[in-house]
Amino acid sequence: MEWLQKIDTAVRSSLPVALCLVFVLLDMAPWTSPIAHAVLDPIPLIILCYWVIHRPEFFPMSASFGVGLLRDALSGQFLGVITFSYLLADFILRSQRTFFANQPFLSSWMVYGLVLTGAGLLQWSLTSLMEHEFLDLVPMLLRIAFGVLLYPVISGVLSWLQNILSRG
Amino acid sequence: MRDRNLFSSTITRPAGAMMWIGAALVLLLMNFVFPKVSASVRTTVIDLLSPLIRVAGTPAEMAQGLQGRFHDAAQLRADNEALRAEVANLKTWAEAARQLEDENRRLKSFLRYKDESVVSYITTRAIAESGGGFRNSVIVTAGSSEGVERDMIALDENGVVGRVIEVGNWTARVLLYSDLNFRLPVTVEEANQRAIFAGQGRHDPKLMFMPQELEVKPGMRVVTSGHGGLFPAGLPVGVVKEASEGNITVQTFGRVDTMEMIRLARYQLPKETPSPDAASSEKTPDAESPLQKAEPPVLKEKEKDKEKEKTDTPKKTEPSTQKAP
Repeated sequence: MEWLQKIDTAVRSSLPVALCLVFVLLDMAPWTSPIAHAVLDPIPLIILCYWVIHRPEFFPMSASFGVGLLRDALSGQFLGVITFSYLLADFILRSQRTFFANQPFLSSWMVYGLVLTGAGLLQWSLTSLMEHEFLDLVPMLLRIAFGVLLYPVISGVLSWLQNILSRG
Repeated sequence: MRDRNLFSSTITRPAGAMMWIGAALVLLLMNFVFPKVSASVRTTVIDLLSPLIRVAGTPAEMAQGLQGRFHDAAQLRADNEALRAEVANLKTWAEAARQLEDENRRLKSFLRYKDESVVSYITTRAIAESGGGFRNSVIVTAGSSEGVERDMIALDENGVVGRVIEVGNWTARVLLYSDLNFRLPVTVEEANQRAIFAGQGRHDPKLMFMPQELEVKPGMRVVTSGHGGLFPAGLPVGVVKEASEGNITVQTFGRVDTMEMIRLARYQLPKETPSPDAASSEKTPDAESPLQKAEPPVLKEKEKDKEKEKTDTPKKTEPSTQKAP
């Protein structure tokens, strides 16, 4: 029965990364509504930020690298743009996670908003630099706005999931 | 007991973090130093994950189907009337197109014009799109194993929607006309003027490198020019929407927000130029006209009736023109 327990532990600890990958793939689906992409796009970063702060062992940097690389490859962008922004966000949050984990909800919401804005602007800057022209900023601002609005809902679900994983 | 996960080899010390960030910087540099490697990484990842991508697209397809059903139920009567009017209009155009095609064939024969180029189509399905990224593209379920090649033109049922930029074994990426990097050589038909069709992101695409003195009016048809020999000429792109000084925008026929099935045009130029003697003596079978394929059954019946009338009426003998000695 020990092997069952090991499988159970492995599945539980892989759930955060798997959830992130599911939302990456859902964002790639051919939704007819233009709002769908704006809503789904920031969710993987919400998941990454939450788990890096609260349970970093469930979301190591290798996972952040893998998720970022997957998004770069699937979206057809220059490789490394999203990867670099995700790793930078991961590094900053992980290095200060003790401070962020003890903050009230409104503070953590604001921190996430800053991280999302920083990551979005970094992606926009890098892509504009590589394309040699200033890209349209409005779609990126829309995604940032939706991400900030959705944070309470997503973090609530992730908090519930964290309680379930902790029971094991 | 400390939880372990599948990525247990990750190091969380700053040195380890720098290693991963360094790897990301290497990826960024690889786009310039080894662009082909970057492209092959993208296509390999998509090829490997295409089954998962298709599964992940199921909710979007279901949502699209439900939306379509509601729309159909609400718009049934209006759609029926619109379709009847369109069919009546198309019947008129079919007859005019047939006459033009006959005249075109006679003129080509008169000039001994021989077009050995072959256009075939690969029909495929869009399973993913670039999401919220800066690149507007879709992934289709056809790759080099099905004969897809780079720079093939992509069309939906109405017109051009993009061109192929990356090809994997089983999938390919199509850059849409709404992308900022999209460029396509076109011709404005009525003005007989070539231009470059350029994507503008959220805004309407525009035509570049048009002479200032040329008068371009809204409503003029824009088609592919075929320059470069990569794709056939005459494929529908759109109509001129606005034509102010220095800014000509196009209303495209193809729709990038609702497409599901995409056709990729495979265009093959003749490999050898035949000698004039061989061209005149060689009889080539006429390629089947697209009008013949698309001919509605009602018109076919009319043609059969015409042929029947010809065979039933007695042949009139022409008066002899020979003079009596």
